[in-house]
Amino acid sequence: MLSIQEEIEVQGVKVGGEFNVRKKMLLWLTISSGFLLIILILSFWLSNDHLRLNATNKNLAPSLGHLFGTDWLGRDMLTRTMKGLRLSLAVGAFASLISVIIATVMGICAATFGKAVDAVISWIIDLFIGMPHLVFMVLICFIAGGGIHGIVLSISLTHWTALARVVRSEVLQIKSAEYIQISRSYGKSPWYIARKHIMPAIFPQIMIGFLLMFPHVILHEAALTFLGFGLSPQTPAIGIILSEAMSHISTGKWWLVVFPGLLLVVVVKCFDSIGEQLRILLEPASSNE
Amino acid sequence: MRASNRRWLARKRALSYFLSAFSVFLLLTGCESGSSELTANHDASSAINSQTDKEELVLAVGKMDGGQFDPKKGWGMTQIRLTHSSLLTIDPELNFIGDLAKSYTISEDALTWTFPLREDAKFSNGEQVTAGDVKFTYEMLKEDGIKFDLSFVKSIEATDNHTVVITLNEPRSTFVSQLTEIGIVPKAHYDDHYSQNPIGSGPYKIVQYDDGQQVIMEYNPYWYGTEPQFKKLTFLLYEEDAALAAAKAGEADIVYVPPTFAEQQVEGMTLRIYESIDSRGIMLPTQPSGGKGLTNGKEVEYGNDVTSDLAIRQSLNVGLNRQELLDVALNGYGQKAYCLCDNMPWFNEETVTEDGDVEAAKKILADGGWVDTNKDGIVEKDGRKAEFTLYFSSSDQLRSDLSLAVADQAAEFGIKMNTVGTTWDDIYVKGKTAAVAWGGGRHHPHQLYTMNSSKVFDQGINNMSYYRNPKVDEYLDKALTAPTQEESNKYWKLAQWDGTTGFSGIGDAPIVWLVRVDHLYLANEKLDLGKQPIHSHGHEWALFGNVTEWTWGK
Repeated sequence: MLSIQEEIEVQGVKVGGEFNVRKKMLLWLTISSGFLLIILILSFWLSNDHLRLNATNKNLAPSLGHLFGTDWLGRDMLTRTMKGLRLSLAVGAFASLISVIIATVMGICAATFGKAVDAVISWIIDLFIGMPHLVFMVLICFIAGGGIHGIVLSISLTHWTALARVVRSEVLQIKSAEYIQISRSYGKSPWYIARKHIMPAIFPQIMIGFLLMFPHVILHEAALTFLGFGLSPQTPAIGIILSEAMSHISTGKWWLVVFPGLLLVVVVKCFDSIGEQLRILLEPASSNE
Repeated sequence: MRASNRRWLARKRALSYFLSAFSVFLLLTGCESGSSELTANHDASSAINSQTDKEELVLAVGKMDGGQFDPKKGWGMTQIRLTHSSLLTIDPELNFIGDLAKSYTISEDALTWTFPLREDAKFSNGEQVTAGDVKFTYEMLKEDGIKFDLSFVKSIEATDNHTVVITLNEPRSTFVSQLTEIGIVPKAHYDDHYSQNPIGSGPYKIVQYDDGQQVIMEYNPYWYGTEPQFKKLTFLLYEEDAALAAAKAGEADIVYVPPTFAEQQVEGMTLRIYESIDSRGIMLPTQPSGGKGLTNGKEVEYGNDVTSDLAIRQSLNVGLNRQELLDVALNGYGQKAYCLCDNMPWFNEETVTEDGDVEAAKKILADGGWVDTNKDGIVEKDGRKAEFTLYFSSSDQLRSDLSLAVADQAAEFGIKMNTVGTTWDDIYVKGKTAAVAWGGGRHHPHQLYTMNSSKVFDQGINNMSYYRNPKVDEYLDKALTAPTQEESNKYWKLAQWDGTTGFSGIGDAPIVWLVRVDHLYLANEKLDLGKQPIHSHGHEWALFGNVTEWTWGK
């Protein structure tokens, strides 16, 4: 729904010409990144003391003292949510990075090492895409013995496929481009061509792939922590917060679910928007599509 | 190139929206599963509510089908009164009185127990309960030896149709409580499939049993005791939050509630609070790491280098603030606990200590060589940090809250506990190498033996901490083989603390007992649950001891 709205806005801007598209995009970018930055700063600034158990401050509804209220053990929900989101961001960044590296290596290998390698890698990609994401992640996480490293591993190993395909087709296309042929005929080494011609050409794709993978990864991190998987319950992870709150919804403590859930959605949307704006900025022509 | 890229991005974005939608869906289905079951039962229960003369009750008191009505599978470890009867029973003052046996006599040497049986006792299929059935049940369980330890029984004889004589190898003071826990099964109808069609001699018979979902019981017309007012009981095997939802929807007459839900107001229902000896504590391995033993027959490692240090265990006993634990984790619905048997006749009151004393805890640690040298807030000894894992059952809200609260408090005097919630199966495998949120508490002192005697190493889940103290072993043996209750109580007390040593918190503290949990139920305000004895371990069972006395006020 939101994406359609955006589309309409972008078109409206184009037709009306009253707004500067670039400025508007930059504004969006600033707001999104600013928001993420605030979360990061808050997560470091808020003291761990707010996570201490407290018999007197139990089950408080949101107020000025506790903006997000407190839970049934007296822990401040604002602090828990912020620290949970920080974990999500850290896991997201790390898992996305690993995914992107796998995707790049796989994509380039498939495109450059001939038919046999291409067939094998394409088969692996098909295999990974064919498996339901969540089930596959649960499986890997379980095998890896749970915990943060299990979650990072399972997410990294399942999210690289789509980007690998894009990289592969990009590289294939660039490889047959004239300037590469010319460069080769000048006697440049394959390493030189890869470094000077191919990498710069696919870098924007990788960058955007990285950013757009982020929201995906964060949601999956939340899903996995929601299901448990070896994280201890005092670890503030957004999934844990939500799953713990489940049993308290029936007693009317809405703030345990609403704020963490809402912020998770906003953070995911922020990353999506940053990735999208950057894509348009890096490939201005595509904004006219 | 751009077209394909664009398509990919669009797909990517569509996927991310799909995923957000999917996670919301996951959340919703999570809530939904409970309520859809509820609607299925709605018709039945509204029919019940419309009756004026109440003869049926709907109860959501948790998974009450543990042991599946078969004593060989563990039915009777805590409560059997609904479907079975036993030789003896206990009254609200915890006296042992006759049930199937009219009375009982014990010989001078405490080795021969004679039980004249009631002649009017019948199973729910109308057949007479005979001495042969009693003999069969006890011999079967003795041979099995897993759920009930009857190895000290020499012989069980049916001298005539209505007299049973049990001879023991040695006096056994806790035998009398086993007599209240072993439900008698019919010799003619008992086989491996007994759970599917259990026939007992209790006030109710099972008419429908859907494993993991519900149990429906009806009045057993052959029941020899007081005729209960409620002729039909429907048990919904719900989790805590689903049970509360059922109460709010007016679909259950009794539901169990955890302390976190105790403040909930439900129209037409009142909160019933029953004191219990259902104790919770922290089990701490007493041996250094590297041992190999058995838990439930599986080979496991045991021992922990931090908790095996006495100073660590004793500092927890003194440093943890029991009142605060009660306030935080139990909303105040509980009592402090110092042993497994607080306020029971075999409880040693000297084990009650001043607690919540952080300075005293620090001093014990310092005297034991544990000092925070690198100022990271955790004490060290010989380069080893006072850090260990604390396991708890993640499906148990109370234990998880309690564990978090304990870890939080222990950090104040420099002990770091990493709390890990997991399944019981996992705990049984790893639990002997780390602390575990443990529980127990019965109407008899036998658990004091099974949790602390070195003779029960590697049996089932007994003595998880591998605690061994020759003096305590001696007291426990004497308590077990004492011919009279009074004498055995004397030795149970000495085993807890004899002035210099013992298994209680001020002694060796293999388990630091912290709180006793009040059992809480929301019950219809018209329902009179009679005089309840002090409750034992097992929230879902404890209530039914006097089920035949329950009445419905107008």
